[in-house]
Amino acid sequence: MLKIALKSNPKYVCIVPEKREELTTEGGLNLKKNNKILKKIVKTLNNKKIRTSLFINPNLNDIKLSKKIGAKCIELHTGSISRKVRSKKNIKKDLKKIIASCNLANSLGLEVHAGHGLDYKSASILSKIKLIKEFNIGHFIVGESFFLGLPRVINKFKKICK
Amino acid sequence: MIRLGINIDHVATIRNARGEDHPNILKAAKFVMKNGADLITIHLREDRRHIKDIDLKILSKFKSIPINLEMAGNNKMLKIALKSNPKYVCIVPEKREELTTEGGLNLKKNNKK
Repeated sequence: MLKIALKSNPKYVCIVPEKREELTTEGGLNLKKNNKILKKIVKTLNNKKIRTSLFINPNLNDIKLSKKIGAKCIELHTGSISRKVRSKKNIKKDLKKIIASCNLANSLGLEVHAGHGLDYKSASILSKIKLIKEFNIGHFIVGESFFLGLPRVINKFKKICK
Repeated sequence: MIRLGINIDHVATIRNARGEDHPNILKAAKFVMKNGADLITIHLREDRRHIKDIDLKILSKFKSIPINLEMAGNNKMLKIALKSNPKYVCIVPEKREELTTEGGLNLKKNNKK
């Protein structure tokens, strides 16, 4: 995939887990296990001026590891909090983790992004955290567009992002 | 006026990509009806790649939604059709051997069934 990225030269890259062994329990990258290869990829892409982020779980250790790996950005996996928002469960703990992750990342000079499972409500909640600079939302927008049409759905999310 | 049946199989395809419940099939069916469809077509395929048994079950509860169930012509599907009791059924080929060269049912081969 590194080869493909170098050849296609995208503006941004986000490295994500695909196989079970690359996953930690909640869904982000297993940085410890893949430390070496991630270092190489991030370094190579950074040199090519491709903004590269690591898709990780919101925990402090992974933030520190991301910095060590040399990433300029991280994308926080929001699957857990999104699911809790949808099923109206208590999100206090998740929110605390995400905020702490954002603060640490910011102090280390990492730009914070967020994605996975986001819908109107969870995106609204997370939009209050000013350190989050980017949302990546796919499934919900495509599914919701069936009812409202893509322009209206995008518009709603643009409002949430304001 | 020609009746318009709208197939919502691929709402389920999108939903299944994540394995949760968005976009919701019942909401989609009601939405489509509200916006002028005359009937809802769903294909409960043998491999259940989009519409699932539970979708048919839920949709069948709403008699205000006229369901046109596309199904393979076999006994298993016959049982399911009798149980869910859709307003319409359309028997379709699913496997290669049920097909004629152009794509419709091979009526000769499956005559008895």
